[in-house]
Amino acid sequence: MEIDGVAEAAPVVVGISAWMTPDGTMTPILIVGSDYSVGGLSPWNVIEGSDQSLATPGTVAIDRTYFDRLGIKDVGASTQIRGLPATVGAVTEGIRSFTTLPYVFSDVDTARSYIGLPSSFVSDFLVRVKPGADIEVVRRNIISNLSNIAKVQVLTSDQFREQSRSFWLFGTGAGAALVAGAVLSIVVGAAIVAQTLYSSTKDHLYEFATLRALGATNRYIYEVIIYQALLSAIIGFALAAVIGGSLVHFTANTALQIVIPASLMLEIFLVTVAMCVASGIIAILRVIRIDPVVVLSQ
Amino acid sequence: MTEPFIEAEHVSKIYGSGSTRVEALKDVNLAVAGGELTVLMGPSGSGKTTLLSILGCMLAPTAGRVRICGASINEARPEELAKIRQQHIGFVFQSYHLFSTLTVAENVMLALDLRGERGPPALAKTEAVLASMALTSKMRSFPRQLSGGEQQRVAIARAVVAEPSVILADEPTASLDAANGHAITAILSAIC
Repeated sequence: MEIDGVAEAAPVVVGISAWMTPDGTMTPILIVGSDYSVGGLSPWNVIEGSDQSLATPGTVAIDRTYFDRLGIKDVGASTQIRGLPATVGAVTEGIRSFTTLPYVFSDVDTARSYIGLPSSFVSDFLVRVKPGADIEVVRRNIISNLSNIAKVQVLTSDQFREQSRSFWLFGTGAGAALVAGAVLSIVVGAAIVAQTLYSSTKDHLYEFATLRALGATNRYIYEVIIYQALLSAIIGFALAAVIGGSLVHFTANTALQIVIPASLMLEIFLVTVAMCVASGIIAILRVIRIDPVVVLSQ
Repeated sequence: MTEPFIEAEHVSKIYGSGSTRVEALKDVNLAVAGGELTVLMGPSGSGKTTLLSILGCMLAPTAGRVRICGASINEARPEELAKIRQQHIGFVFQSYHLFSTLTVAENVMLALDLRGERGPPALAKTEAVLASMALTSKMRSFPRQLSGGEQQRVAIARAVVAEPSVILADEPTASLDAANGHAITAILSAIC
């Protein structure tokens, strides 16, 4: 089948299998098999060995992060996957999943045998478009050509990424826990900031009353409290950034890497500021009820 | 004769009602002009602070009328009253009411900051006023590092720095010893 705009389509097989460690126990792994003769999904960041070696049946690539878990020390090590022989031909760096299931790359036929799939089975096709082709147009061409096959999805890289993110965030218990945790953090953070600002305002009620007696307008009082709220936001964010930065640093080479991109940092900062300013409104409501005359009775 | 800056006409103030009713002021008439020192004297509970609160636009009278610069303030909104206090009235309180986290200079500059006066001109005014109160050496001190007399001088500096039309001082010497009390009275007399 030839489709306008498609340069090549490489079959990809993905599935779970079992890796035998040197002590004889089995550990689950995620096999990713691809046809390298047609530009399949090769492992990236290869730091030892060669991805060319994966063309040899029974040869796999694993990530250095999983050495301990898989009982591997170097390229050339041998083991068994689902009872079949496997040799490590390449080692990568940074190919990890937050599910902590180790990725193991191999040739597509080797992958089928490791997973126990029929020789014609394909999980996905990795499509490369011709130079200059409009990806969206090609995507629609593929959909129209495959309209006779039920439940086929044709996604660009961005769409695939977004779908994966949505699945994990909103379609799984892990995602629900993450979202619930984030919402809880915002609620708890807002409560703490509101309580802090309110207590601080209450402790300095006579100072606010003095300000009002001296002729401070409501706007001036608002600015003082909002300024305090912004200071709380900046100090709180700075502390969180230091903790977050440390986590990013210390998990950089672990199986469960934490990534905080700059855009996320900016979003967190904006949420923090909004949370603190909203919390400041409670303090404002308390202060604007102060009667300046109380300073004369003190 | 100088035009009165503050006028109180038949001002009364009643707190509470029924059995808790207290008539703090009854039919008070008073006119305060610029450039003069007016002293209110009376026993404790005679209504001095209540009258000062009403003249200072911080408390509404139960009856009667108060005029500032000839205009009645009885119907003024809280924000308008705040503006009047900010622009025309300087306050000196019995308990000083300085801001403990601000330095002496910052406490004084606050009165200018409220009026939107900031930067070098505000600092120059503050330095001049503090010099006139013999507080130049204390500019960077905090209130807790000052004696009671010095704190009250800072409070007076804060009251005068914005050049208000009138200064209302509520028992400004009550918290001070005799020597400091005389010194504060002399400063207030000199301002007039």
